Amino acid sequence: MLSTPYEIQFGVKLIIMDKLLGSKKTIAIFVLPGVIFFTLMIFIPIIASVAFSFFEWDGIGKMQFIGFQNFRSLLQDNIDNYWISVKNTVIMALLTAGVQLPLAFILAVVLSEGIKGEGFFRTVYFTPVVVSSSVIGLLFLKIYNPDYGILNVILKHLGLESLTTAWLGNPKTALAALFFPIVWQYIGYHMLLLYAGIKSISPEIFESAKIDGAKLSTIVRKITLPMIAPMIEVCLTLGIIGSIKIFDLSIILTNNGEPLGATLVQAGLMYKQIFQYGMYGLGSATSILIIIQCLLVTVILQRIFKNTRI
Amino acid sequence: MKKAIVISMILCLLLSIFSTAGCSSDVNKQTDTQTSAEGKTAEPASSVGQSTQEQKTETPTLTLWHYWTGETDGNAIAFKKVLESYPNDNPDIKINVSGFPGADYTTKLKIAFAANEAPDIFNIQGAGNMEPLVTAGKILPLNDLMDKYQTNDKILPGSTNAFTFSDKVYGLPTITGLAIFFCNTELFEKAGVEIPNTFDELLYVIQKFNEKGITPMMFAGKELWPVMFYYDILAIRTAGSKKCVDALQGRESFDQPEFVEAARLLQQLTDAEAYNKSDLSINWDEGVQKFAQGGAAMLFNGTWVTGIISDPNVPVAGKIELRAFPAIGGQYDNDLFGGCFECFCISASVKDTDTAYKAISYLSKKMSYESLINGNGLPAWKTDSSDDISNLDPLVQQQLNLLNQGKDMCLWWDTVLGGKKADIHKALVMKLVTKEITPEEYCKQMQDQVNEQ
Repeated sequence: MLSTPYEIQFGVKLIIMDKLLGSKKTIAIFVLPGVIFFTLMIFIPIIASVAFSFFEWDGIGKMQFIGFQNFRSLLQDNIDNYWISVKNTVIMALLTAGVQLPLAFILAVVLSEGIKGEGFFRTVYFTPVVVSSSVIGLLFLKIYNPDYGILNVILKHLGLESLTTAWLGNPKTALAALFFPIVWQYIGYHMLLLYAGIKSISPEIFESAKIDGAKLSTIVRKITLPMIAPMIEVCLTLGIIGSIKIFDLSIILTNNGEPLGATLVQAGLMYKQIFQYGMYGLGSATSILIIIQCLLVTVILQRIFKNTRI
Repeated sequence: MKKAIVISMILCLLLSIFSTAGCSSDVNKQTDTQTSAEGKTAEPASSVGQSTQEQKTETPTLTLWHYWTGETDGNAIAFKKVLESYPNDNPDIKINVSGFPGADYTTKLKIAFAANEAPDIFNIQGAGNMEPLVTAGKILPLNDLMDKYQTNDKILPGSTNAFTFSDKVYGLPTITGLAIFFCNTELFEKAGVEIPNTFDELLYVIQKFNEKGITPMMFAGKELWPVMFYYDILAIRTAGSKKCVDALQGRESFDQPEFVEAARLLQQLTDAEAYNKSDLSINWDEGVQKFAQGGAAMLFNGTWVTGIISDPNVPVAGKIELRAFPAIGGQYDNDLFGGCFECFCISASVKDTDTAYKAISYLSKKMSYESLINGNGLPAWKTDSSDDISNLDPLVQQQLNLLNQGKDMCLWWDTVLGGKKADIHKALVMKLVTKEITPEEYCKQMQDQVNEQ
């Protein structure tokens, strides 16, 4: 029975909350501002892009309906080197899944083991995520500079002068030089997500495993990994979608695709088509293909991880 | 009970909405009262006051958009001076100025035109850049007004080429840009050679510079256009300005011996190691800075470099000589690379075209003059008695002489081609420089991908 004034007040509050959340109308009213914002800012522009992608349009003149011609020129005729940008996206996605996430996971496991200075290292690894991409871009521009960049300077002092090159200007190294900062930048982000996931596992489980004599490798394989599978799914999804959408560092480091289109990425191609070539229809088609890829990745990853859910 | 709660919640929500709305309407009221207060002070005044008020409403106001923003950019500094002197010289036409940084300026204009919120007058880059706006009928043709105010006598011949579409002129020119061969005399003395006048001499001095370990030429290639300059001037030397313009506009083929020859000459520079290969990956700013620090002996680039190297704090200040690009011994050795590619336009929706025309003629002419004084560009208007040009910087004077020696001109190729074609041209020149393609392949691809598209 409710007796004290505080308990009565608390109970009434609970009842009100219950009633409110039970009513569809109230939910609708409270969600409405968000829905309006989302519709105006995201949903309608996507629909408009879909519409534009069926037209040939320079942004100001007459729009000419051409059906699927824009998609055909991209996918079949490889116009503006579309497939190179897709190839680069795939490489970046593989790097995310194969290098970035494993490194992030190792860091997360080591940190969560309770090493000395846990908080300090957590902050250090997370710093690149907080720093703006343009700052990171300028930083690496200096690092890669062929004349005074620290990378070439170090190589020269090590006697490896034959390895020095114009990292961003050499078509053979430009892609790697562009992707390294991206991989590096987001390791801390994924590390923090995975670290939070590991920390949320009840410590008794680890303790009992240790008492049973399990090694760290066994614990990681049999306990940690399965327990944080949902978190890994989130990281993978965010990482791969992120690699489809790379844009800022490509603009700053390689001037959107230089040298000679070797580092072209899809979002950069879309920007080029719309704002430099004035081909709004074609650019919209590229953007629609980006959206489709993002959705596909999300759905496929959800399928793959369906069975791992506990 | 349930209903009461729901209703009370809705009331709360409405209340909060109205309370915020109430705030904003209060603000409106405040400004309203302010204006009405002003109105009141004006009202009791005598008929004189009323008439001044009428005059005020009569003063036509134009909206002006421009992209000359920033603090250090030479054009921006010159335009700032123009805007400062505008109200004094034109008390009868007011302008509302908005400046937007360059990168997305044209896109912004397009959107404004589509939404019917375009400015009355604006500046823009010519050729491919303004063509969509012209074909969509958004820009006013100026031929009649130019005849009426005899503008053609006041501007330099050929300065409206980039703004002319099917014999109609759509803009008034501001600055003439010119590509110039900048030579660091100190480094030439160090290597013990003279500034080259011919292409063969150029190859010789390149060899001498390389022996001394000095970078001969600056090829800053990240944005591609600074490298494109070298091919374009060579093509102007071999084929002549007229043929180049015709080829760029699709009336001539690029697959001709002259253009192949230019490509071969460019590859000779690569073979002679005329530039530092790693410079191909640095951007233009870095390249110019390197040249200004004495990092290379020669640079072929636009008039805008003058503003940077004439700064007394720069190591090369006072050591740079301005020349025409070395001759190849043909009949086109006096042809120039450059021209006027920025202009002021009037929106087609403007009703009082005379007023707008007066405003843009003032802005264009004044910009032309201020740029000359400031050293960021050569004039596109003839100087007249109202302009004081007695104290020109010696470097600017050298530029003027080069301009006067020139016979014919061909505008920046990337400006003429515009958009995607410009990108293809620049990429092909880069492939040529790095010897990924042969001169013949280059010309064939130029013809297939640029001319016949």
